Amino acid sequence: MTRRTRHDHVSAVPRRQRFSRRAFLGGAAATIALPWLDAMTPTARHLARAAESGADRPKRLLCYYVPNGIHMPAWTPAQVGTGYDLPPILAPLAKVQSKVNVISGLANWAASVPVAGDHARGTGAFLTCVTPEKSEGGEVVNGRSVDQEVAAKLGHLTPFPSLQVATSGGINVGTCDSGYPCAYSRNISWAGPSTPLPKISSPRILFDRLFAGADPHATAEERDRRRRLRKSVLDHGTADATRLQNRLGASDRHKLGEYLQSVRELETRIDALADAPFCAVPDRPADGMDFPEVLAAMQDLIVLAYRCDHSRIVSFMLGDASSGRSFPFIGVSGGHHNISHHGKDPQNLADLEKIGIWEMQNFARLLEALDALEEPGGSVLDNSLVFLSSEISDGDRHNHDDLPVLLAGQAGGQVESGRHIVYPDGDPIADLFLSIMKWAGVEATTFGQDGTRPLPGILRA
Amino acid sequence: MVISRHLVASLALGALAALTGCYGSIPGAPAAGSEPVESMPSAATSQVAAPRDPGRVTLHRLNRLEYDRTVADLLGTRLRPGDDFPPDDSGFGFDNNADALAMSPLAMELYERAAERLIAVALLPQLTEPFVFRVAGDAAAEIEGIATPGEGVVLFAPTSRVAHQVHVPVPGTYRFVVDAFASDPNFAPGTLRLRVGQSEVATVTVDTLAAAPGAYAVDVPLEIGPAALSVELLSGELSGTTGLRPVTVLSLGLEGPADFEPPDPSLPSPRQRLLVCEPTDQDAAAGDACARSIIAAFLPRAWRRPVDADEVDALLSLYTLGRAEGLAFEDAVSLPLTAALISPSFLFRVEDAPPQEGPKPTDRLLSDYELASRLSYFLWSSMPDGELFDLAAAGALHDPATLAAQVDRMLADPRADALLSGFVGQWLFTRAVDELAPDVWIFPDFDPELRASMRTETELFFRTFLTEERPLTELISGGDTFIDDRLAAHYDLPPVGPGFVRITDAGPRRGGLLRQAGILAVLSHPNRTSPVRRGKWVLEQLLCDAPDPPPPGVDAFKEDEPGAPPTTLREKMEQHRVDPVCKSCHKVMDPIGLGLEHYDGIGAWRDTDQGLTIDATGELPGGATFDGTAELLPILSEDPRLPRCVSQHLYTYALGRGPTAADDGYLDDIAAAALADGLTFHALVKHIVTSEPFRMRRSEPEPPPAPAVSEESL
Repeated sequence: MTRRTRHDHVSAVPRRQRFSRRAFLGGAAATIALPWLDAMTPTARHLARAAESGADRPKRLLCYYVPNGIHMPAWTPAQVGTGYDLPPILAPLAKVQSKVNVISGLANWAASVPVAGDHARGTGAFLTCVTPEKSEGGEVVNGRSVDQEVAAKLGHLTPFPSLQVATSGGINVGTCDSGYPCAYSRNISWAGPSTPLPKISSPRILFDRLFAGADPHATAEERDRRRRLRKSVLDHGTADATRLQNRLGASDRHKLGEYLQSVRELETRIDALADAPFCAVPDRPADGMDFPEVLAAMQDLIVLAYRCDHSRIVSFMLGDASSGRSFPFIGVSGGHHNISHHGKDPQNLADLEKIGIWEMQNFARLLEALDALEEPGGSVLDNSLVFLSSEISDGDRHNHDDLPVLLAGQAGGQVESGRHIVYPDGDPIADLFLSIMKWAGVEATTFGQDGTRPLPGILRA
Repeated sequence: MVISRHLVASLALGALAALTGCYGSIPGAPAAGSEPVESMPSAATSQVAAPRDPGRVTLHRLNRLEYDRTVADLLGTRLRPGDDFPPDDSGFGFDNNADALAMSPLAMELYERAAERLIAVALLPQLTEPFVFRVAGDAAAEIEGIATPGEGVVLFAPTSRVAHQVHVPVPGTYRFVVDAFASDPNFAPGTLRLRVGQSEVATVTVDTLAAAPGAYAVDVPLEIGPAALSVELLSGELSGTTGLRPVTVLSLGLEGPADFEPPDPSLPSPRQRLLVCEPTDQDAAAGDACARSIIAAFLPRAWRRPVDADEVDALLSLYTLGRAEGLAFEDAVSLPLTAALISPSFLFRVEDAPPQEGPKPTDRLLSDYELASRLSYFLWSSMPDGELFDLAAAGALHDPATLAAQVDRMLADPRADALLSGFVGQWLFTRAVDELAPDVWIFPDFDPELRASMRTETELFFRTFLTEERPLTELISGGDTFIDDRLAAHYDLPPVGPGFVRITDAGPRRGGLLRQAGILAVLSHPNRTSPVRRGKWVLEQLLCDAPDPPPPGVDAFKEDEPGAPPTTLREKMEQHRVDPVCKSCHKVMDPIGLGLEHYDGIGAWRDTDQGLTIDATGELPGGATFDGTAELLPILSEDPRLPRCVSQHLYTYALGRGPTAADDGYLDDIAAAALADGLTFHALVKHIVTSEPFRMRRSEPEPPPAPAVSEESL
């Protein structure tokens, strides 16, 4: 037997640090996160950095959107308080039940307007609590979303102030919903009234965004040179834009303003990433995954972004507003939106329940992965808040009250979890966002159109 | 921005109007019916025409299609970086609407990455033949197993592996090949895991024996640079077998890229195009001069206009900086080339504002270079070519005869295919064919091949309007179409042999857009047809007379109760007739959609639906009656709103901005002139590109006035 090694490049990485591509490609979603777990035990280095740059317990916010509402009879727990029985759709959360609050009775009144287009409006207002304006020309007027309020406060601590992640990019054919521009149907993160933040729907691109350029073989000097040169190239763009300003009218200068702002943010990030410690990452995911694989990979990458402390604020869309996706892999063949107009048909209701359960299975995996990451003060989940809801409540009624809402995580001890909390008077969800903002340190007394106080019963006094 | 606020206001009013009536009027009978029907005020009928105004197009960021086509024409590379960019938002039905094309930090980051990669790939030496690499198992760089010279490596233990590093010359999809056999016939088959770097790319079962070794292969996308190929033995649970099952690896290798095509020796390679002089690392002064000439040659094409010395100098300073940082010539010259591709002068189509004198807006003719870009992005979704640049340099482009001749030339060019995706794909919704997801149990016939054939049918059919002088009414009334064997089977027609064949008389069931499977499928739900979508599409996309969205609180109609006797869609849609609010719009939409009920959710013909005979008769609100498409389509194709509507959609796409009331006069003229010329696509394009809005630009009042109610409305 001959044992030879001419080069050691293949075995340069200790075996326990290797990541199988199965992590990105595994069809059986249950196994997806497993190969990572070993290597994902947080290293003291990142967490030390997290501790230095913020509080002892880093504050993270994840806003998770599911389309087309939820079949509420199979969602809302019968009992109030702790120790409630999990209804069928919430059953997958069993392992993390003690770290989740189910919140019933909240309403997004800004979306509740007697005009067609509830899906687009509910999605546009999902995190803004502002009624989006209709227009045929694509111009949009909305509010600033809660994740961006938090990003404005905490985003500077990480290379990416916030990330917008999704499983599909959506196509641009026809109007998205009853005269609402597609931007409302496709974006929940809004940096400003007219600035939806586009999301990434390809795991490969998200991976590149987070980790490309992190060349572990480059010397510090080489990395530094690369940073200088990239910034010089970008500076040229800034100079060109500045030259052009003088030749253009007001609207065109506004467009150039967007360009200049984008370049500035990119330059800031180049510096931040260059200063970030090297974070062991898996291989680049390939293209061509199917929907469950993309979802699993995106959730894995969100966990990884937290673990490497590349970002602390993430918004995630499981689908676009009124998604027509079908779920053949769980035996649901019709389009989701169609089924959601259930007409109380038992088959439709059964399908909606299946979809809901599947969504919660995936959400539970994400929460479990966050709970498996240890850091000072507990797990990452313990230190975070994870908000989940939909653009409407019931698919048939298109109502924006009695919304399905989960608030997972303990906000570093500021939120008592494991409860079913009921607000029978239809309190505005904007108040819940004010609670989140208060925890994050955002000084605000109002939010959106109807947020006037932090929602009672959420944050510890 | 001002316009949008008016739109918001008017749309809000429109939504209220839905409570009392419907905008939609009546195909085949433009006069109002007995029910109160509000007609959309179109310029043709309105009493007071708004004053004409050539308008202005906001600074236009290249959309994904435009970006991909532009860099392909500019550099000669085949990369499609646009696929990675965030989807472009659309306005007025098209994703080339300048107002909707926003810039974001994410897009900027991807532009930067794309530019670096494009220049790096363009500068690569061109492959003249496919890359083929093979190493014998026993000669591989890394072996954990029993190597015998000339006989490969036996992998027998759980840690057994063989690995070798290969340098990938150009990015692309490569075939990773392993020649292997099960070493011991008593312990066959064995299982191998193939990896590239750390990524598993395949698990293969080796069931061949020494007498006839097998070639096991997997296609993997690879970037330029080193790729560590490795082959590992899997055993026990991992392989789904028990015990060790040894495998002999004779060789491993890499072949590709899959899309390799031998270069045309008469054309310069992307590298030759960029490097217009012989670079040198030795002579600094000569290097500087060469870098300057490279930039000076590249920049006017990249920025689609002449550049001045200052602009070249600004970029040259990046080269100088790179050299000072110790970069080699090519790496240093990549910096200014990359910078050119992330500059606003490249990413945006820049049109100078007209000089402003006094408070009143002023107009100006576009410069010839600006006009050249408007033409090329309209018809090609790409940058101007040499001939357009030459005409621009000569100042000849505004001449109507020259413009007409260029239209003929450009529509005959293969680049005009961009219209199929950019314009047709969005106007007629055929882009959505790529996203079709019919219910697999209800439509088991639907497969990727059918999807591709659906798309091709519509593209080939529409292309005849680009290449032949056909009246656009034949889009609807034409009796011809294109089918291949897959569609022939789908349409119950005799097979046609390899490829697509044009059939000029497809019989009463096929021919024309509205009988094409792709469009019929796009206008269906995953599990059934949607007469409403189909009817609405006709009103909106062909007649520009869209009904309002349903008022809030309207329940979608009920599917069949389980156990209840099935009902036809027609019976279900009777629900629309009960409520007067629903009825006002649905009496216009539903009959058209129900006239197409013989075509199921993926466009196949059917005589029955759930066992019930299909009734495709209908009566339009004006009184015209029909039975099926044979009688419905002639009514639609002769509708007087059609020419104006086609003009409006193409005009919106051509300009990249939404039409306003100030465009009504122009649109009426364009539609009338095109109609007089036979309503061909060529005629329509020519009348659009010679119109004032296409060749002129109006200044923007400054600062923008506060939003106010104005005469501008839908």
